[in-house]
Formats: sequence, C-alpha cells, structure tokens
Amino acid sequence: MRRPHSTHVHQRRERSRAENVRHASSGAYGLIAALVVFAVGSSNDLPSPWSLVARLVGGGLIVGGLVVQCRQARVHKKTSVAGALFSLSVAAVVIAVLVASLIVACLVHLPIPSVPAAAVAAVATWVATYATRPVVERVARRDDQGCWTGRR
Amino acid sequence: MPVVALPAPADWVEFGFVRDAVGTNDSTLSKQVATLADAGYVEVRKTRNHTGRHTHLQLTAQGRQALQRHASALERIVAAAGLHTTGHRHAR
Repeated sequence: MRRPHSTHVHQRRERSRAENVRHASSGAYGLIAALVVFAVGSSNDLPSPWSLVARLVGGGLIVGGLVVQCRQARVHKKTSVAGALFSLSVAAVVIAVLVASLIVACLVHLPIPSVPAAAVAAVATWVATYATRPVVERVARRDDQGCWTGRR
Repeated sequence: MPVVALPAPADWVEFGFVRDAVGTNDSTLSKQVATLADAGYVEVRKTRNHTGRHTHLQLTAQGRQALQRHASALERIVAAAGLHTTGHRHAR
C-alpha cells in the first residue's frame, strides 16, 4: 500500500544523503587526489630542490582541495568513524598500488621508476573515486539510519 | 515537513539546497524557516565571506524528535487505514 507522507520524508532524507555523497565523490576532487598522489609519489626520484617542491605542491593541493570541498558543499555532515575507516582503507589500497608499481618499475629497470609508479597510483586513485561511490552511499545510509530512530 | 526532513541526515544544509529541493522561492522558504526557528525546530546560521552571504540550516534535537513523532504518527494512520480496508474486503 502507498505511504505518501512517510515516503516523502524518506525521499527528502535520501536527497540530502545523495547530495552529500555526490559532492564528496565528485570527479573534480578525485582528480585533485590523483594529482596529489602523483606529485608526492614521483617526488622520490626528483633531484633536490624539486622533490621538496613536488611534496609542497602535493600538500598544498590537499589543503586547498579540502578547503574548497568544505566551502562548496551544500550539505555538511561530519565524517563518521565508518567513513573515516573506509577512507583510510582506500588510502591503504592506493599506497599498496604505488609500492607494487614501484617494485615492477624497478624490476624492469625503468630510468626514474617513481614517476611511472606514481602515474599508475594516480590513475588508480581517480578510478577509485567512481568505483567506491556505491560503498560511500551505503556507509552514508547506514550512518543516517543509526541517527534516525523513527519507523519508515 | 520537507523543510524539516531535508536537514535530518546532515549537520548543516545550505538554504539554497533546501529551496531547490522543495521547489519554492527564497521569500516563502524564509517565512517557513522563521516559523520553524521560532518553534525551536531549526537553527539558522548566517555567514559572510568573499563570495557573499550564506545561510545554513540545522535541525535541532527538538526538531528531530518532532519529525520522528510526525513520521511515526503518519505510519500508524496508514497502517490503521490498511487494516480498515482489509476488514471491508473480508466482510464482502
């Protein structure tokens, strides 16, 4: 049987959640994250002072990206424990991809192995932005249900 | 109801987001928000930066409880209407 008003409550909440997830997982921020991974990952083989410059650029992109993301969000929600753990696990996967790529690059005797390795990790980061969106939505829905004690 | 339901899953929502989601204009929404704020259901935060003035809304604990009570009451009404309809069908 139709439940118009309670369905509307559910739909409105879903809309807020969807906007939060859409903004957090947008391609633009995924691209910024990928650039950070490339800048920091490739800095190992760069001569001084360019290695420091690359790391500073990466740090600046992180800070700037977070500031812009926070300011432009239409729906603000604090990151939950589950959300933070998920982000950390994605970061761990990216680091693993970087390390594995670096090992492969060294094994095939590429001249500056950290650059192609960082490029692979950067692509993996950008792909992860889209691939992890369903999980991010599930985490957001679970967090919301934890706060909502009414029946649906 | 939608003005209260939209901020429910979030900490703060932008005034413009609520306006666009509900499909109303600034003036109408401002009046609704003022009424809800006077009732203690919504908190309004106004800020200003280099991009202009921004207004954000947050559902208070009292507003969250009121929304849950309202949704639960609607669920009970619908459930009762469903039982009534079923009873009529069996009677035939």
